Amino acid sequence: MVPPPETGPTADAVTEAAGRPGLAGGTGAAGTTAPPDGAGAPPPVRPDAPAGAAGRRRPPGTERSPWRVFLRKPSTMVFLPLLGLFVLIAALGPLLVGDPSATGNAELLAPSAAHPLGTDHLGRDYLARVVNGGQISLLVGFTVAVLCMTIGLVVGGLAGYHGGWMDTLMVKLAEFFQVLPGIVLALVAAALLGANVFIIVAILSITMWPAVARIVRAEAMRISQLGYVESARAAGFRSARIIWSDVLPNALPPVLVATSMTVGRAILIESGLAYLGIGDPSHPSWGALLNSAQAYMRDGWWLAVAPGLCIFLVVLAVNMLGDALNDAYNPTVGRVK
Amino acid sequence: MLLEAIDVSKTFRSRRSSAPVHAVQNATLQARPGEFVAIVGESGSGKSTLARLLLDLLDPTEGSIQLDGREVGSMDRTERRAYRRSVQAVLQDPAGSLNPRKRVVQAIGEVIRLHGMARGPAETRQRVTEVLELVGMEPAEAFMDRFPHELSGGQRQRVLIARAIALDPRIIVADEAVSALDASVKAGVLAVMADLKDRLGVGYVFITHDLPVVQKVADHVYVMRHGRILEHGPKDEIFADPSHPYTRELLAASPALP
Amino acid sequence: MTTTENPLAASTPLIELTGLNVVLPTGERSEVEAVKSVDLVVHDGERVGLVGESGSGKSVTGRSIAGLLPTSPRVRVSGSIRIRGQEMVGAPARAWDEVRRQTVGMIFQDPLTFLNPTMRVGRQVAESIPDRRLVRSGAGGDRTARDRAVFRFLRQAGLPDAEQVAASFPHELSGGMRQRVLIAIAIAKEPSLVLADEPTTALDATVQQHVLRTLDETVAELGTSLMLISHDLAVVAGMTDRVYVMYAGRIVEEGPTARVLTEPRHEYTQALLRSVRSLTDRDTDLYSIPLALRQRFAEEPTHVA
Repeated sequence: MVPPPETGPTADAVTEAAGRPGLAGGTGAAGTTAPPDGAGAPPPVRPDAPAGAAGRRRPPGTERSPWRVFLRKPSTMVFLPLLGLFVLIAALGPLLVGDPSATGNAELLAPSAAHPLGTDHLGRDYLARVVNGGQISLLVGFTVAVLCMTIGLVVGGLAGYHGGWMDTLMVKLAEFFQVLPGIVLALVAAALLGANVFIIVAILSITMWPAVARIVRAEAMRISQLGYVESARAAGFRSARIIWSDVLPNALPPVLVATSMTVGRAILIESGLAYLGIGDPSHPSWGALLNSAQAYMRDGWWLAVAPGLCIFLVVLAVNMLGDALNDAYNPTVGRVK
Repeated sequence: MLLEAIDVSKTFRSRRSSAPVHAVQNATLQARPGEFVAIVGESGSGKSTLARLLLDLLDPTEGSIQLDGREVGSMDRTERRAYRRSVQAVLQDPAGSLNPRKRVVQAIGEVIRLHGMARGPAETRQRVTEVLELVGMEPAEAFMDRFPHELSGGQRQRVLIARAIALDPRIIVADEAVSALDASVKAGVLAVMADLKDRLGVGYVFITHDLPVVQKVADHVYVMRHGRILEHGPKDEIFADPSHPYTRELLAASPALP
Repeated sequence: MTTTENPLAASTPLIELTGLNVVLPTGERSEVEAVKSVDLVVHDGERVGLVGESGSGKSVTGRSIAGLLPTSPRVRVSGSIRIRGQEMVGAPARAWDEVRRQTVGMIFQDPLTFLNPTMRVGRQVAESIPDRRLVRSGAGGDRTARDRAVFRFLRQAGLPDAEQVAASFPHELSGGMRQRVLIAIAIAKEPSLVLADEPTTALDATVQQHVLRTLDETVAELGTSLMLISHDLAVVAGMTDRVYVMYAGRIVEEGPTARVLTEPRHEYTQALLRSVRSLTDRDTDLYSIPLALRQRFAEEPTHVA
């Protein structure tokens, strides 16, 4: 019955500065940029104008496909070749760089012409090791991400669209797999089945899909309330088709971002597992190289820099490409008009 | 053809609040092709829930929705498909009723193909052209390949109507279909709807809070409040002599120009 | 209700826009001239309407007056915005804060966006009461005086159960009540101008009528100026003395509300009124402004009729 007590100048200032005016500006922009009916506002977007007469805008229907928009983005032009280079090196590099386990060189040699990335503490050519490690890391990162995205889209889409018992089941399932201690699981699985890269991929996927599924579910729930989903139901489309055609494409933006993050996280977690000795020691990944480099930070800094930089660049490239892909596929955001 | 709601009720039970919400209570309504039926009510009156019951998007808690005496709830797949074709929806569009990632030609074409109204892409495109022209979006080629955000509010609403009539429906259930539009655009969309009624014999169940519009275009009016239908009758009777005080209040509330 | 006795106030308009242009970004590389060489004046105690269709630039004009345009460097404002004679184009944010605290109180279409959902309504009203007001009333800035003032403003804004409303959170109130809370917040500042942008568009007709009456009475009681922005000519008709009609970023007609709505001079106003009336008149055909006419209105720089 009594208004709350604290009414100081500070609170006043905060609301004034951050509260209503800020929001006001935001909605103002949104409200005024919607295309008006008729020629209410002039070009660039003048929907009622005949196609030929449109101002700076491309005539409707002659726009580039999303894929071409994606390819022409500046960040794509930088990061797609970069990622491609890493993939190419991982695929073909091992054939060119020689045996990564061959010893016989001097130990902890600094980078030179003969050994572009130097040698490690056992005198092995580090370039060969990094190139071979990339194969493992990329394989783990991308496979886990694709598996997580697939499981996430299916499970999250179904749960978010249908709700009810499906939703309850999914949430419980996701909780179960999320609280499952991945490291312990990995240790057990490695003990029982042996530590190879497929076991690691399986375990990472099992513990990481819920993160993607939750995002899909939340988006699917939101989108299912929208008019176009209701219209599709009223038109008589089956739910699987509605999920595939109306719900998931519109849920994609945050999912792509989450998936690209998964690539990075999988690479990093794999390196953690490698540190615990889970993994194939004869085929060390970037993570494993990075971990063993810790002991030689002072005498062989390049041992940490090379795999570290590789992980950083790959994760960065994947995230930037995820962003660019989303921009390109979302026709309402940032399309060059 | 006759679309009926017979003594239909819908109760929502939410998990959190203990009290169930009686969105629609014992509503009875009839709609026919060629007739403009309006359901008038303010927010919370249950008029949108009634629309969704008629569209078979919600199952009634009690009572039934019937098409020519056949209960929709007990229809088999083929019958339900036919029902979905003959009773179409045009929902309110503050940009939400069209998938932002589908071009106009896809949005309309997919329902045409779903109901087998055209074979192959060329025939589908031809049908899309026809219906766009029917709703006054000419030349249709100029609009077909646009995304919803490249259309104005009035144009989006017309695309929704075009999509509905693409299936040769007998009745269109329109929920606040013109409420968000400017007067001039609203007049344009209503003129299209009236024209389709005259030319194709389409009937409407027109759900709105906009009484002046109802006065202009409706044949038969139902007044709803708190989930109940308070009164109904031919438009002229309702407007000339409203029997319920709420209807009088509604009539008095609409601001008018000098 | 035209001017106050203060001779200075009479000579210096409260709000004076001269040749105002606003350019807003609409995409990565596109922008729109939302407001084009707009001249507009609001005097003390005056009630002015600003009508137009969506996209006409009326809301952008309103927001420029309150300094609430988006804060992007790509938003370009040129021309002059004088508030009590002080030039505000290019003024620092601090000066705008001062304007919003003292001179201009705003009411928006969607109150939920502008009310803090986690804060009780009473406190949100209290925060907009300037200390000077309480000091002047001799009560100092203490809590009970502030509470009393909060209740008074809520009652004045048409909420008789002021105590109960003050203790509520925004989501516990109906749409009409929230809109009245916004009115209370706006008048609590004792502003010289209440700027209402589509204040009743989201409300039911019966509620709209009550909220408009509240706004009408409150503004009359306080002797504040009112600027009412709406797409609804009927709403503006009952509330204002003078009206500006906007189309495609320009003001196409200005004059006494009664005259403009009965004998419009500009062709656009005539077409707009014809379409509005066609929705209610029984014997006229539905009229939508033809595309060709729209294009002509949008292209030719018009003189204010």
